Amino acid sequence: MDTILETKDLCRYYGADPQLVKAVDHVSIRIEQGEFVTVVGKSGSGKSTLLHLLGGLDYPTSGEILMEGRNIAAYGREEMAAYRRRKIGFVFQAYNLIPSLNVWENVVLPIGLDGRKADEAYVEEILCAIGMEKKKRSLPNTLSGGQQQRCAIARALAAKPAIILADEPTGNLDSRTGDEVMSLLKTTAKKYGQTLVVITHNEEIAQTADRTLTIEDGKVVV
Amino acid sequence: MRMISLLAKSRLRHYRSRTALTMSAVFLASLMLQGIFVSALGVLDANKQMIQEGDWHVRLSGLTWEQMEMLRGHLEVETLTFTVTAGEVEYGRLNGYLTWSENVRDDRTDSVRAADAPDSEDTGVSSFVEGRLPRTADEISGPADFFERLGAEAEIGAQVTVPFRANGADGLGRIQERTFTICGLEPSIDVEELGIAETRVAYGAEVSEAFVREILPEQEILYTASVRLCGEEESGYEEMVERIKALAETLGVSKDDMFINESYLYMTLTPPMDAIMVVAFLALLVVVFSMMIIYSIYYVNIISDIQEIGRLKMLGASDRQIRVLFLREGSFTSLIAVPAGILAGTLIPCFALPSILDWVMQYNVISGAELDRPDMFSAPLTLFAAAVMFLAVFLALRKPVRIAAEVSPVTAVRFEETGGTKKNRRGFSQMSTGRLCLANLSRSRRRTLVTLMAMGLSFSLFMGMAGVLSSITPQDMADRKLNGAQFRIALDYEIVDRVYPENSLNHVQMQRLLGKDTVSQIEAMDGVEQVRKIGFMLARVEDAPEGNDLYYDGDTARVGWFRKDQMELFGEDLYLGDPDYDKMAAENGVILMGGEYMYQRAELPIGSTVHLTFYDGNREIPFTGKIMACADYGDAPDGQFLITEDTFRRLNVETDPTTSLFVDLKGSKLEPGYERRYEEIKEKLSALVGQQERLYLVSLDEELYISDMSVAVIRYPCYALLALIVFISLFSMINTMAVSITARKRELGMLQAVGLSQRQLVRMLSGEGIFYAVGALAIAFTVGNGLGLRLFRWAEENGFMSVSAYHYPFAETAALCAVMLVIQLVIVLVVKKNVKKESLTDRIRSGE
Repeated sequence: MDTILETKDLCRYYGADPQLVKAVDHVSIRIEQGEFVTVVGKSGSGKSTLLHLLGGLDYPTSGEILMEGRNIAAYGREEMAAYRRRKIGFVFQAYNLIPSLNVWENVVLPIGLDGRKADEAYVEEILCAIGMEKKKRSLPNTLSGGQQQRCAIARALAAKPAIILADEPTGNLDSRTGDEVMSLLKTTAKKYGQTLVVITHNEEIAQTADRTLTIEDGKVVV
Repeated sequence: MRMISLLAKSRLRHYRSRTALTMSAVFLASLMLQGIFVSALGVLDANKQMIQEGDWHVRLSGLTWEQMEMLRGHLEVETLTFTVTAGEVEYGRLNGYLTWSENVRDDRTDSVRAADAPDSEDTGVSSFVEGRLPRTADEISGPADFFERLGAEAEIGAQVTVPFRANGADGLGRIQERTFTICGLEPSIDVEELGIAETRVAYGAEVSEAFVREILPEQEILYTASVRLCGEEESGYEEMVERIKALAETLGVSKDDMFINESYLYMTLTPPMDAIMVVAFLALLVVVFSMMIIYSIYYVNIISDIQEIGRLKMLGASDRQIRVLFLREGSFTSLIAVPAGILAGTLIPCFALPSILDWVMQYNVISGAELDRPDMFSAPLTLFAAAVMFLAVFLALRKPVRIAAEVSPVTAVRFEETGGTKKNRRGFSQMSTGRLCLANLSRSRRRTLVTLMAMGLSFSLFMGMAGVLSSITPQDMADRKLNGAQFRIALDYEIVDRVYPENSLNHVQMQRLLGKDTVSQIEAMDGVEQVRKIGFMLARVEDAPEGNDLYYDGDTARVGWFRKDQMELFGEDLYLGDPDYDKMAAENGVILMGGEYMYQRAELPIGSTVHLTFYDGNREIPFTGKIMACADYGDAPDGQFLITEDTFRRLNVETDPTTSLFVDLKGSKLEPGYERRYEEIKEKLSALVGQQERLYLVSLDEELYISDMSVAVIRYPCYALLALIVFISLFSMINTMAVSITARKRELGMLQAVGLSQRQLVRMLSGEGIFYAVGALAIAFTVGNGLGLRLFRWAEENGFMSVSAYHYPFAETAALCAVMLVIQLVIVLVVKKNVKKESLTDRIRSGE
């Protein structure tokens, strides 16, 4: 398998001595194309910071993040925004849909922001796959938590990104809905050949992954 | 409730920028309201000072010594001063009078006297720079420059020879000369500083009783008495007028010799309704607009606070407590902003207005009077202004507060601003930054509409007023006086002068001073394009009604004429009849001018015959005409009667009827060298006019200078007020934008997470600003300009500031656009700063 994402000596520190917080500390990992990786760890261990760094939401203090061989840590703000649009699909715990846009608009938004036209047939297909084809025109506040998260998954898939990064995607859902969403995420990622990195506290989810990375105090221990 | 107050205070502190914005809006609105009241009081007081040439009630002229004695002992009289205009100065173009004034009686207490007329010119006590009033026949006092212009040294003890005509019972007498010793000097009028011709200044010099008795026999001394009756405070306007009339009747003074100081009586005894209406209108405007803007600010703020309100309600806050919370916030804001605004609104006009009035008064050449510091403060009005502002804030808060109180806790906590109860949205199949921006604007249509209307209406008001204000131009006012020309050369004449008939117009016209020679001389000047003439003849109106005041000396009228192509000038001024030029020319048709007033009094109905006898120098030309129409004075040629040019030609007059020549220059004033040419021609015309004592020159630059002042007095205060209204309305947009950014902090972070670049973010947010700006400007340029046109028409019909041509307010339009552009740039800068201030990950987390 080809390596799609790799970090080398990645560090993200906050503050200064004596209150220096090492959120991510010399992390070197590799994620292969099409792999399903889960990241586990206690609260405050640095899971989300690592995910934010991988997704280009934040800049590292030092180290490299190589996406298909290119170091995104050296990107400017505009380049970084383009990177997020084209290469990354985010799924957050709090769904983070845009309240003023309907389901369809939320899904095609990253493509529109990239100045491209959405492949409508493909979007329709995704919406069918996640069972939201009848809710295209609904506004987010009229949807249940599970429906909102499914919509967020569709948005993450629509731009055909290289990697989907999900930060506790089932954290706000009951266990049955959570299972549904997780299985949907896995099957769609597989179907569209995307790499999936999921942060989770859920042991069951971690067990279904190809590989699990455990983080403690900012360091990958396994 | 103590907890609620604490919470209100902490919220005000927490949302510091929003508090500052609301406070500024309330502060500015209070400032405007109080500013209007204070300025209005000041202007009214100044007007009172300007209008009242004294606090006398009636001026009785042509009184004999016996009548004066009756007045002196009359029970009704409180104060009595008199003036005898002993003679008119005859020295080239110098305009001057010799007067003897005396303060005869004053029954008022000293304090009232001092308060009422500290510097009254009519008491006969002039304000001297040096010296005193004349006591002997050969003493004189007056302004220093009056003596200088007579060729004398302006100093006490110097000799001055004054040529004058004594003012007897039968009009002016023969010219005589007298040498006086200067005993008092009054302040000079600086003609050069004012930039106007010397001929416009009227000087008054004081002489003694002895001198008057020397030049005029006792029976020819005619006194003009200024009288104040007792009990002004207890009387109404009507009652005072009746008492004045009764007094005049007792003395045997005719109506023509009685001049009631109506402006003073009106000012003192009746509430100034017109001024009150204007002030009330402006105040109402300020209050309504302020309320609208304060409402929009609070509305937007409360919508963004809905989740917080939900949390409070979940913790047990009742509807009433929520209402009280927001009202407390409003009260705390107003308790600081209203008094501060009222204070600033009192202080600014108090300092600025006297300087403005002084500036205006230096042009008040005729009276040369100086204003006292106007009385501008009124405690009840100040309290009223404060109360109105508190009430305005309360009313503006009512609805947003009700919305806040009525919201259910569950809805509030879950609240996401998507446009109320809407479940679906049609949306777009493809997305872009522009569409994202539109989606945000439409998520709360009401908020968008409230902001847009608040801005749009205040901008419309600005443009509407600008439509009128830009049409009040010094150029138009000057053009009206100069008929659009650059210079006017006019005859200096008396309509009728019995002692020196050569001064009378018909005799002056015999000299043909503005005839072909003069015209060709002017036309030959390099740079002159054309010379236009206007004029009229004098004619005796046979069978004029007895004792009328319509004509000079009871029977002499001005008769003008018009060409066929000038028929349209009558336009809407026609009061009665539908004149046809050819018919008028064939049947000696006459148009009676002066509209309804003249028609009711002249006893010349349509179709009646009028007998006129034209004065053509020493000749008399009889004429019989037929009244065919009656029209108001307007754009038509001058004259109380108008005949056709064909009819006029048939009179075969021998004199030159021209009374004025209008000189137009070639080219536009923008051309290089125009100014030099203008000055050269002005010099030549001055030289030409200088050769003839009976001609005088009026130039455009002089007229512009004078008009400029009158325009500025109206225009700048209005613009200051409008600018403040626009300024406050911008607060509404800034607040909406600020709320839109802060309330969507997480959402904006989210958008950035899915790939919205910083440039796109700035573009999206400034797009919202552009929407408000363009929308408000569109409203302003449609509604506002429509309002401007209507206001202009109203001003034109009512003769407000001589507006005659609509000038589109280009400068104001550009200014408004420029302000909006600057605001947009500021928004972009603020957004950029705001975006950079917080990291993307912090923003995404902020809502969790």
